[in-house]
Amino acid sequence: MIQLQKLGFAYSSKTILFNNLNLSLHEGSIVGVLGKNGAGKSSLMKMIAGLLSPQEGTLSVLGYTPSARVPSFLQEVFLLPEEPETPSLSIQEYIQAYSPFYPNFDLNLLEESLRVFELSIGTHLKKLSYGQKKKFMIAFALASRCRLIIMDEPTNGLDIPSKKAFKKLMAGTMNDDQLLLLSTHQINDIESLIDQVVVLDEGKVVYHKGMYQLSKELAFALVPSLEGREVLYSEESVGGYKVITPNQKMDTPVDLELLFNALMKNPNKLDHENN
Amino acid sequence: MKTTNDFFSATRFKLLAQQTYFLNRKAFFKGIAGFCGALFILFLVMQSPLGMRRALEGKHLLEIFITLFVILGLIYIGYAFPAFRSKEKTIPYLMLPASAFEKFVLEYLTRILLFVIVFPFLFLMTYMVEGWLHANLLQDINFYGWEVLDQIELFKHMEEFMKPWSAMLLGVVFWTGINLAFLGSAMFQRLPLLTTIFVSVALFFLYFGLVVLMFFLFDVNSYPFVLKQSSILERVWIAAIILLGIGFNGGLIAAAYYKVKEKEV
Repeated sequence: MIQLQKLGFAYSSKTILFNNLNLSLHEGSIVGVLGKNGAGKSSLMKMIAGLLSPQEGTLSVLGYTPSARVPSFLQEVFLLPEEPETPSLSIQEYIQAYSPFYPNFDLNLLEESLRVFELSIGTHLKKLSYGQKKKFMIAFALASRCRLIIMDEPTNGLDIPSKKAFKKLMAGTMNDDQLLLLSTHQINDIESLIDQVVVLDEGKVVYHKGMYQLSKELAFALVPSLEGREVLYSEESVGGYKVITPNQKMDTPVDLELLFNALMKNPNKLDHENN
Repeated sequence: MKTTNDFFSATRFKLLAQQTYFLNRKAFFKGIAGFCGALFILFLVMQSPLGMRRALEGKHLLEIFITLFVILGLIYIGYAFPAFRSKEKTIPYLMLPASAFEKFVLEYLTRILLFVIVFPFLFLMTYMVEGWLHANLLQDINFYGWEVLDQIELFKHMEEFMKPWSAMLLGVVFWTGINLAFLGSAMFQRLPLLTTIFVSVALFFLYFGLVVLMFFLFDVNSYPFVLKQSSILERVWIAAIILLGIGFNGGLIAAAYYKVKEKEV
């Protein structure tokens, strides 16, 4: 669905964002894109959505060149930016004004999502808080039934119950022909949701793996001491050390935050030691 | 909505037009009410004992019309593409499933064509309503009614054969101003109208300066020019300027379209 080959992009000659970036993503996944501030997560999302053009390399999304922004591409791609802008309309009016542009729009799903998020269809968007607006836009994005849904920091501004509702909706509504791309700093919010993780650093994809494969290769644990263990990465923590070790048939939940920290310290180590 | 044409689809265009109306109807009607109200008060004051104490004549009406048409037109058209004023608004606008051509055409129609048609209509209607009410309810101001239009003669002192040419030339000049403002609105994010005026004036003086420089460099004054005053020559000149103007405007429109098509956030 998404093919990036040798992608290069720079905002200026001094700030090169991507250099030889390669990535391939397929439908039927929920992909978490992680990276430090300024790693280029949002720019990558915009490039995939066609809002920025790569300066080098090739980018193909659903068989289209995104930057051409042709309608048949746009009706299959929904981008939810970090700060969504909503017009001065009620939720009902917004649906009337925007939903006809999406051929697979699912009104029932929208109503269900609004119910889960405790939003009323008659409410005016200007009266909603930032978090409530975000919830509405998440619900609309899901209901668009676009084949590619991109969300930049979707859980920013959401309270704890809403984050729970968000995970529930995401997990329950995605079809096999859809791809959901989530970019976030808040790793814990998407940990249990994603089935692939992509980590960006210094203009490159430093890690891209399926969560299942990741959990088969690596084990995450809290241990009292590091002695006698083959530790790939460790961090001091309350009660000992958080460690990543090669998996020896243990079934441990993936600690994305620990993985991310490990990758930021030494991007090659985890892959190198496990491949 | 399923259509296959990615450049232009009537179905999609209709949908886009409906959406634009839906999103802007309140502001549109409020704007019309505000404009008509303000104009009504202006006419009332001008024709009252505080002003002229008599009905506005054709020449007055023309002066007011042209002043307001230029000022309000530049403001309204110079702030086309309101979505481009902020990054947050640009994203949903560009991501809306319609082609750049459809979005561009709709903006051109709702900004330029709508203004050119609606403004004179509202202006005249307000004049008629105020004049009628004024004459019937307040004082006798010798209200002309529709006859005021007969008093308007744009090119009064001009020879008959020149009038249509002059009208076309004036039209091209107006159209150029409008298209410049429109291009500026597609090009500049902040203060688009002021930036456009500043850039246009700067370019004009640069060009004017170059022409003056050429005159000095090539000592044009010493050339034995013999320009005969003839109506045919005058018309040829005007026709050439009009054609040049049309070509220039075509360029401005194309530049504005490509600005929209290639817009990045």
